[in-house]
Amino acid sequence: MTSWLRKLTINGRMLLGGFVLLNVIVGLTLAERSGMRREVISMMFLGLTVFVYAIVGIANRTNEPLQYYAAGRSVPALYNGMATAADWMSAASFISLVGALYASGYSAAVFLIGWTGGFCLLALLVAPYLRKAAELTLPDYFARRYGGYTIRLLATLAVLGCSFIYVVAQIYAVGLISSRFLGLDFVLGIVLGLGSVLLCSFLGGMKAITWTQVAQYVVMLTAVVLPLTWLSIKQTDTILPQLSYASLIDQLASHEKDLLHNPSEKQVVIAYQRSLSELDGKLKEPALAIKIELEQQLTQLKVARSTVEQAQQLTDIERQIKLLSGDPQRVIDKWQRQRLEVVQRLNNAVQSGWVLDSKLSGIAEPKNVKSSESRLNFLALILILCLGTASMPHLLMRFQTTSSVAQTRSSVGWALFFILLLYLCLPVLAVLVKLEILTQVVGQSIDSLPRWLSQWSRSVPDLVSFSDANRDGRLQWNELVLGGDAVMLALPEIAGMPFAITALVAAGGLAAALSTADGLLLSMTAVLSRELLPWLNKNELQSKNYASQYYSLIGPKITLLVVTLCASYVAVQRPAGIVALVTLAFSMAASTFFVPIVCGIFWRRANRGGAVMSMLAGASVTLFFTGQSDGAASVTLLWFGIQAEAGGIFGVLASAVAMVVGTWCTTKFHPIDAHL
Amino acid sequence: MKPSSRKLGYVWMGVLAWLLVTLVAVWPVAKGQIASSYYVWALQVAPLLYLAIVVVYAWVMNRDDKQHDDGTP
Repeated sequence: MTSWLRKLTINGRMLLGGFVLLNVIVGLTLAERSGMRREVISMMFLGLTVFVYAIVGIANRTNEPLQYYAAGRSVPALYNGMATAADWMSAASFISLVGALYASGYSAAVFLIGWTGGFCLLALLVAPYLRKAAELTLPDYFARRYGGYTIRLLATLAVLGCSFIYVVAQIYAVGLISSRFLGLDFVLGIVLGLGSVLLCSFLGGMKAITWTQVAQYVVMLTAVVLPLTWLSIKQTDTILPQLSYASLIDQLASHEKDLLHNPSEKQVVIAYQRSLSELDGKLKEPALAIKIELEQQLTQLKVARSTVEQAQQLTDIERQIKLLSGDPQRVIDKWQRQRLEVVQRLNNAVQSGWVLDSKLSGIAEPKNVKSSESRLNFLALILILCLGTASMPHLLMRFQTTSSVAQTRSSVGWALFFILLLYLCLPVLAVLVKLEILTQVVGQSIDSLPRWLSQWSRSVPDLVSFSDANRDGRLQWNELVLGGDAVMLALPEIAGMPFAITALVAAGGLAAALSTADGLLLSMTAVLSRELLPWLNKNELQSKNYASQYYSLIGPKITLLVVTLCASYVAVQRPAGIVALVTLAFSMAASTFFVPIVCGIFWRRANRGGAVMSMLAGASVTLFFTGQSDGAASVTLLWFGIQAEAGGIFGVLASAVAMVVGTWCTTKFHPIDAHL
Repeated sequence: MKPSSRKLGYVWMGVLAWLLVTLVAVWPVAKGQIASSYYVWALQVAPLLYLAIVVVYAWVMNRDDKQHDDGTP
């Protein structure tokens, strides 16, 4: 870093960074107007932001273990709060939350309430006490509070389990963004993302990650505020749409009510139902259906060959005939996929999350209550997200970087403040995008649809697609599929903003995924290296010997590399959706850590036997119940109308019961060891 | 490790406030009264109240630390 930059205060550097970012946006907007290709703009923007993160990471390299694991316990509360907000703001929050609110309205409010409410529990019950204990990792804390190797081993496995699930989701998102915006192959996108993560964290550990996350937060905030302000001025002539949120929702609800009574929309639903019954008929007797369809295609082929203009149609028919003449199982698989797609479209058509009339939304009538709207399920999801937030290992590790317990308390407040700056924007953004779609896209002629729709439906057909199901030549709401993960990323194009803003939003998504991945990888590395490399535990943090400190960090750095490679390998296999993975990570964290941590702090009698039983019971019950879920195809209900995705709540209850029973039963075998 | 009873009182008050805000945020769903005011409450007011709880708690506890340095966090 040059000397003049070193002389700047942290605030000065932040202002400089913000100024440079705005100039880059303006510069790229002008470049787009002068004809620069979109791929080049994306590459320049994403490349530049990653370059800045790398510079910050390298400038903060360190060979001191305390700096590597806890940034020297010297990060000011405000900046630790900002870094925590970036660490917290995962790809799921940044990319999927707007999409979830767009698609299902109040059902998605659970995420916002749960994630923000969790910071209350973190401040009240967990963070200051763990900072007081001054242990770097959760296994260290458990070993000190409860004693024994078993609890340490269990805590290590649990940290690795929930962090690994979560980090795979982040790396997957990095691959998704890179492949969509840079036009790269998914695997190559992941490799590049991997390099970015390592550049930020490899040399400087927590110290480098902290300041990189501060920079990433600035990018994320800009990527949300700029499109929001643009859309708001376009639709409401105000720059603070949060203040007119209620009236915006009333407008949206009015549009949704109109849709429910629109004859064209009803025609679309009838067309889907007809298509569904046809597919069901085919799947009932597949051999006969294949024979009939093959005959139909052969007849069409004869007709098509007689006309020169239908060359494309000819190719399509030949492809169909080839498929129908081949392996029947492939045809059956194709019909089953089509059936699933039609079922999903029908479900989306019936749903109308923002409609205010309780009779229409199906809440008032208990018989019509959909599982996603179940009352207890709503509460269970909020609670599991709150408890999971207060127990996430990578988040707890962040609060070890402040200089005192008082600073930790302030830091949680700052973290929630910076998270709210983003979270107060996202719901408004969801409403504005939906209004934009309903007023500018729905009802348009199929031939004159906006360019973004055809581009996105070509590049990611599983997320964005449209059809003319009722064949009226116009796009109806029920004919448009706009997947939740696409809403945020496509938002600037939907609103007709310059492509530089699209690149900025992509950079924001990338920053969210990278910042969380960095924190998670370091948390796993710290746990693994302190368990697998036992010589590190011999007071290396107090060592003043430079050579000793240097060599003591080689092991953790290699561990970081190995963990990153493993997570990337799993992400390349394209596991289930991001939100499902994140929910599982939260459930696991809540059911294994929350009760033993809180009881360790507030219940003197809590002992090793209780803690071990609590962790085992919580993890096994959660894995059992979340394992009942069969993905997005259908909803699996557990007891009291609670969905499998909120099944972690039973894990937390089991964990609490096991803690009490275990402690009572093993008191005489394990003397109380609340020596902290 | 266990905080003093005075500090435990602050913790309890904080937890009760958190519970109250959360339950009130869930209540309209339970009653089937989803209206625009609900969205304002659940997505804007409730998170701000959570922030208020954290800020007030941090201020009270940090002030308490200065007044009664009993070594507990």
